[in-house]
Amino acid sequence: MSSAESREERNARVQRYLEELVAAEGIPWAPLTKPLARCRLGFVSTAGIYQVGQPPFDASNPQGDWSYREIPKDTPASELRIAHAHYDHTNAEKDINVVFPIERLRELEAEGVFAELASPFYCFTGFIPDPRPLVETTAKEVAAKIRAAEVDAVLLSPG
Amino acid sequence: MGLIQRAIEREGVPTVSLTLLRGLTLRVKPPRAFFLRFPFGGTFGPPSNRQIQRHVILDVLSGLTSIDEPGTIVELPHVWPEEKKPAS
Repeated sequence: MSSAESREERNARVQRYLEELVAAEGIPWAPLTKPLARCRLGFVSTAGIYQVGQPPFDASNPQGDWSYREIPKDTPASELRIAHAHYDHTNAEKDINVVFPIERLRELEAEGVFAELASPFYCFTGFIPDPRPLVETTAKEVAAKIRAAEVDAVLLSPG
Repeated sequence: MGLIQRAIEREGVPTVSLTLLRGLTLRVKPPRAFFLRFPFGGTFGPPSNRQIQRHVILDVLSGLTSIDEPGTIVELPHVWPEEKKPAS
């Protein structure tokens, strides 16, 4: 990727990449095979959340940051921080559940809406101008970890 | 996010997502998605509004069983509440 690439060139390149990927893979599909109340639910976010003590995402890197953080499901909300340069943090700084609903998910787990929350949650940051390293490395890695942890279904949300 | 979703579904694990960017989601084509007209940075609803945040999660999770056509994007009806202005 050239540093002189314009925004239009970048958008066109990402568009071509997505078209080729979707043409090659189609739309993946795995049906849910048991009631939600018996499922282990995983949660994956791209809101750029990390736990105090973990390295923040590199929100200023023009190449993007396709790394991820593992956030244990029992992490106190007060230990979560945001590193994402592409959305307004005002609401999330008042209440992290706005972008990363860790307390709402624990409440629904306690109520039995699903059997159990899988731990850890996985968090990426949203601004990734070159999707290829994400697709070829970290997205695959997290997907394999989720499968190995016998997670039954996954909820994903952006920032 | 849709690319991560696709990777997880390809491993055989069903997924559902929430999106604020319908145009991008239409191009990425994740298996199941819900679109919401909330501002960026307000994904699950206003701060300290436990009821809306909870409803949004429950609505999105319902897609795991209600959506049966790969690539479906369903629009959710939730509206970001107006700020209450002090009476003048």
